[in-house]
Amino acid sequence: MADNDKTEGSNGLSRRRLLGTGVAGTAVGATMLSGIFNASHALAQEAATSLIWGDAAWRKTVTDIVAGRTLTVGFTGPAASEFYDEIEHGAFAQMRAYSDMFGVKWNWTYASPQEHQDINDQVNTIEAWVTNRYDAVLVCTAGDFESMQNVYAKAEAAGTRVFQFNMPAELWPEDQNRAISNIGYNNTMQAGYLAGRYIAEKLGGKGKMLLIWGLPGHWSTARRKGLDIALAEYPELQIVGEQRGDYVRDKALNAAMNLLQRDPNINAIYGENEEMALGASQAIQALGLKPWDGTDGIITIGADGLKSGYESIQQGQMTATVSVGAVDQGRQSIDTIFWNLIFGQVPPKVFNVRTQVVDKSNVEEPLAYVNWALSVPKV
Amino acid sequence: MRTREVPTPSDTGFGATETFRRLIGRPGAGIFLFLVCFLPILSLFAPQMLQEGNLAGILNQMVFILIPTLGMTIVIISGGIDLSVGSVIGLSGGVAAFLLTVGVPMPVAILLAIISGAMIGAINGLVITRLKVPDFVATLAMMGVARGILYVWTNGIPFRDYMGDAYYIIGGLRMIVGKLTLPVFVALALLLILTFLLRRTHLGAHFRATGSNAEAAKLSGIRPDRIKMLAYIASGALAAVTGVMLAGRLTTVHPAMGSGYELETIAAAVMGGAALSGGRGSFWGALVGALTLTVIQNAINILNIESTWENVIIGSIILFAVLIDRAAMALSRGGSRRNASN
Repeated sequence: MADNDKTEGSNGLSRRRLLGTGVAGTAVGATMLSGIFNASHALAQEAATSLIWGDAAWRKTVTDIVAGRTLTVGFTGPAASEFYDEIEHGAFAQMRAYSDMFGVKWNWTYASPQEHQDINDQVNTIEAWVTNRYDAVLVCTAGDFESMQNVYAKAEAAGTRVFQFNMPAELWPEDQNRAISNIGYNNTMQAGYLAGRYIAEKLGGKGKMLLIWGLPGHWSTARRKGLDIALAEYPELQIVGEQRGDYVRDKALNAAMNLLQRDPNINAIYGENEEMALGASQAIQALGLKPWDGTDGIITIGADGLKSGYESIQQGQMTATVSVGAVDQGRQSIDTIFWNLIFGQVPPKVFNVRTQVVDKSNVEEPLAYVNWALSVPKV
Repeated sequence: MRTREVPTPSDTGFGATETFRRLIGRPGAGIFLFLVCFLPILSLFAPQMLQEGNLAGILNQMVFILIPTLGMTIVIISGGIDLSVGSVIGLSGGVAAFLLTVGVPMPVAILLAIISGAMIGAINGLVITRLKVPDFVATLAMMGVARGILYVWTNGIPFRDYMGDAYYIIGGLRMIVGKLTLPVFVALALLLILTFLLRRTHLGAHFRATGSNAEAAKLSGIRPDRIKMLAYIASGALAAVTGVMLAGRLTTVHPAMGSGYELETIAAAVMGGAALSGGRGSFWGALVGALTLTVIQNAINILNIESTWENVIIGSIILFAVLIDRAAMALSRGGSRRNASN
């Protein structure tokens, strides 16, 4: 019974997230659901379910069409990491929800290159999946846009549908993008821009900042573009140092230390991902400098939305991060694949999930959400 | 190709010029001279480079390269190469972190982590000496296996929540003497102990003999297989020491932790005058090599050099350093030869 409640709970959440198009509707739905959970009436729950997303008759219709079909999906990111694990857990949640509701079965394979961003390795994996007649592949790659289109074209010809996740789709013309849908977020305006705005607002538009940047590639390009757009409004906020951290804490920590030795009079450090921002926070502490306390000190901001990042925000180490909706990307990817593969519904070419700047003032909800996703067992 | 470490009659007693010649023939001396000239020039552009805080910072960062480079140097002197260093750093850091999270006392956790590194070294040594697999291939395979184990073990998610107060000190996140951190003193101790062992016992000569000519070494009563085993065990253990400290420095063990260190340590060892053909190398050279690599990275950061140039600059300086070392060696040999013919 307790397990059952938990499943229903996750379904409730999924509806809230997936249908969160209207703010008022979402709020009403969430309030209703929380009231219902407290009462824990199965009947009332069913009523809420129908209001938010279809009734028993509709579910039966969908279930009949699905007819217990198994969808074989391959999931590959540029590297194994906490971030891609969160995305995968979002996918687990949605797969389990659809299995419960519609009787669909999932044959899920995960693979990531051993070496960070080894594109050749990743392409080989995709080709092996295509040869093995996978229904769909979900790809996030550091590979060059045009060369990946050739890989996707081959997959298409062999009958495997390609979906991309977590890619800065805004960088490329939509009509040349062969992926059926790109589930991600706008790296320019929903990440880089937000980080720049946050720093500017906290510092009153004035100060000196450092950048610790990742490997040169499409993510770093897109985020930098967004940062520049944000900073254009604040000429007195200057980037006084910009060095590479290659997405790893080790290198970012050293780079931040060296830059802070040169000039400790810094107001903010933007690490292009959370590992690097955490490295910068450690550098600040190791040098005995003051982390941001709300009015004074050095701001550190990253981007990802990891459990470890949220916990570091709670502990007052890292100031803020841009949560790029890892869990929602996973859930939305499965949603897209399901309705496209079985019902032929056409998804938007670019589906951006919501992102948010998370700091000490609002960390509870995103942390609780990630904790929930990570508690969902593997499929 | 090899220099004489033992002074010959012609080397002694010929005054300052000869002493200089002898000194610059030492592994790493050329690059040391380069560094001594290079730093003041750099500091003209970035005066912050020579500030006390930055110099301490350089030392604090350098030791994480230096310690595995000491191991790499032993392996290279004895005629091998150890590509598994980076993976051992990651895996042993993972062992320490994992044991701490399950409540094993810190000294035990650290000891077991170092033993695990030594065991990987022993496996490398066995595969190379017993199964006769070439060093490069055996350690390349171990590089993949050890890294893969860490990925399977962590499932791609870093180990976290193992940091106690003491571990901040071990990781060098707190300064203990002035602006220096504990890893600096660990490295210094290791450097002195290893130098002593190689100078004052027969070990040094045995490593060099094995690396120069294993067959000849055998004939003179040395057991090259044992010496090689010892070299790989030392390399594994030293990489593990680094891994334990790096786990403290980074406060999480990412499954990719330490990757790339194998190439940095090879670069540092070679810049320090270790010859990949075996038989030549020194710990003080390793120190100079590691120092040079760290200073370059520090200078790139402080001068705020555009990041796309980073790899080009580091690569070029490595090449330059090796050429300088070779030139210094030639100069030293040339001098000796002239004296010998007198």
